[in-house]
Amino acid sequence: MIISELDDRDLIARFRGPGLYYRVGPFLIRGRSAIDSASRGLAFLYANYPVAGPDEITDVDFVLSGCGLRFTKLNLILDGRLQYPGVARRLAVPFVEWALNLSVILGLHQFFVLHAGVVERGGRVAIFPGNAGQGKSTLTAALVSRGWRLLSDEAALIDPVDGQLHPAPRPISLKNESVELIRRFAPRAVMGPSWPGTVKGIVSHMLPPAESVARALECADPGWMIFPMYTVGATPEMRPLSKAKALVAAWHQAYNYNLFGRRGFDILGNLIDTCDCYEFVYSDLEGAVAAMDALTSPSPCEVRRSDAT
Amino acid sequence: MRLSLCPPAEFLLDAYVRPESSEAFDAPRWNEVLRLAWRWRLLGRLGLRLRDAGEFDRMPFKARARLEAGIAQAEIHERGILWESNRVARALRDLDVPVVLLKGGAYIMANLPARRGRLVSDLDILVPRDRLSEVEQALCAYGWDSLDRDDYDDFYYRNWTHELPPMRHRDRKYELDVHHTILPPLGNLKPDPSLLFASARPVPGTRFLILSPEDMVLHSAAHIFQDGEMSAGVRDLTDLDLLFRHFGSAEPGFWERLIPRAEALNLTRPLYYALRFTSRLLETPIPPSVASAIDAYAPSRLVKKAMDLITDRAILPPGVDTHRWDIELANLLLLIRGHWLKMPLPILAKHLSHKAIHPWVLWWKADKAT
Repeated sequence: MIISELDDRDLIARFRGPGLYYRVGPFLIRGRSAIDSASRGLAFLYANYPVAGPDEITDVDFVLSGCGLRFTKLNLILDGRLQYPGVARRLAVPFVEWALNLSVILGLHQFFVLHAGVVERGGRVAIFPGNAGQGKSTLTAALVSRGWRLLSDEAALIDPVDGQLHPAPRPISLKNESVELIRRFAPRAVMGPSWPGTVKGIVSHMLPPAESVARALECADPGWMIFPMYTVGATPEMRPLSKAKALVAAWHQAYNYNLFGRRGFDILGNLIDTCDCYEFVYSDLEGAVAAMDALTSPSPCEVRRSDAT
Repeated sequence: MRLSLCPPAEFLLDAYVRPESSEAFDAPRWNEVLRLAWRWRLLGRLGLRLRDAGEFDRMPFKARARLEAGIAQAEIHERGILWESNRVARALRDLDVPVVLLKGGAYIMANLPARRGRLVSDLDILVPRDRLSEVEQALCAYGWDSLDRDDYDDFYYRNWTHELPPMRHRDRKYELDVHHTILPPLGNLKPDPSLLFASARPVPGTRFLILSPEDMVLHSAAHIFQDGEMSAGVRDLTDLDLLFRHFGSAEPGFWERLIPRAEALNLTRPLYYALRFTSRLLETPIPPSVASAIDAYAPSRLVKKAMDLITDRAILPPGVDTHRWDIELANLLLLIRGHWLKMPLPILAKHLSHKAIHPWVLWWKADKAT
């Protein structure tokens, strides 16, 4: 059963009572909420996600409870800790999304985690590590709306044993001008409501394609490590990057590198060895998607080689 | 006997005291216990306890993964302390000053059982008061900056507390607290720091000292029950439990020396609370002779009742995800008690009025500037 199949009364009863349990890739999330508008907002964003029951270990547990005079504010309790006290009630949904990001970073260390957008095509994964503002979410959203499969717009979850990437596709969080950019670029993409007045400005979420959500347990092998550099007016260019530089640049985005100790270096090293590494300068999204698509189509010399055999 | 304020806390403490009790946990119970252990910064310590008892193969995979991550986190903190103390030793290498490591730093450097699974985010050291400025200058020269926010904070720390304003290293961002005694000098209890230095012991292979076993226990007790800082209450009690158990068996004469030492340092009341709450919550074995002797230092029945009521609420909140008013109130009362014990009333009044008025002064100044 998926969340959109719950009727409204059932949905609210779960959120207000024992909690709504739902799966995002390998993670089991339990949400409780005394604020019905927030419950419905979350149910819209996660409409296609599978509903689960209470008989497993949960990975993330959040509670929204009203507080303040006249209940205009709320407390967000994440895994038992009061994470966001007294935030504006109308911003409940973006705060829950941030809390879920935080939970993956702080507590769930069964994976080696890189701060990155992650998409897949033809069985190979492209990883876009990057600081905020380099356009990794925007690029991820653009590619996903043109047939790439979404693994994550926020975190590359690398299996410490076999080096494969685990998907945890969630709504893609777009900020400020990116919202309008993606609306124009992908008019058929489903967007959630816009939330003005957050600390990051306007936030809106693009829903992942149903196919990405349905394939959320399908792991894939790493293929490309691409560092996006949004540059106004630039023509798209894939500049090959040395393995050493790629390793150092990726290390800056590794959340739990030190938790793995010596193994962390090996995991990251193996990942970089497997990937083709590039710096990707781009400005407009059409050009960016074309450059990415060109990576996946076999190059002329490869075609010739396969003709010869 | 424990109060049944919070069933998940009962189960967590049970699993800590008797690891095999975790075999009966179902998924919802594991969820509560893990969440509480996370909130109390106790995942690593609980994890080591269960791992040593061979319970890791008998629990759900995801529970084990969470506990293993907690253990790994504590190992990072341990490495951090090893490196930071190495750097402090380097900064102070030309000074002939006794430097005593306190709390987590001491447990780790002296390899005591209380280091296990302990999260330590800053290093605490103790130096003689008349050598403070030399030590501070040497640390400044090696990159530690004072973190005080304004002149008042600086004044407050230097005159009314037992430490310098907290310092932080410029590059590594690691915090260092430099103490000259273990409790605020204006408080009602004034342990004489020269006694602490006189019985401190060297850490082999380093330039550091650690407190004697009795003093280490008494400092930990004073920190919890005198400072009004109860948010890490259970974690701190497990420190005490591990210290009592270790010194009780490894250190001949520890129990006989404990109460006389508490009398000499003027710390009998914190020791009373330490023994009471560790034996009540963690079943720490305490020799009957010590248990009955410490009763002479119990507070009046009314105070005892009040402390039980307040401390239980502060230590064991009645639900994993609740942040209820009576808990906030209990924490507030403990904070007030901590301040009350720390400072005489005129100074406390001055301090609180500054804290209340100062933000408005800043606001008024900012308003005029624009």
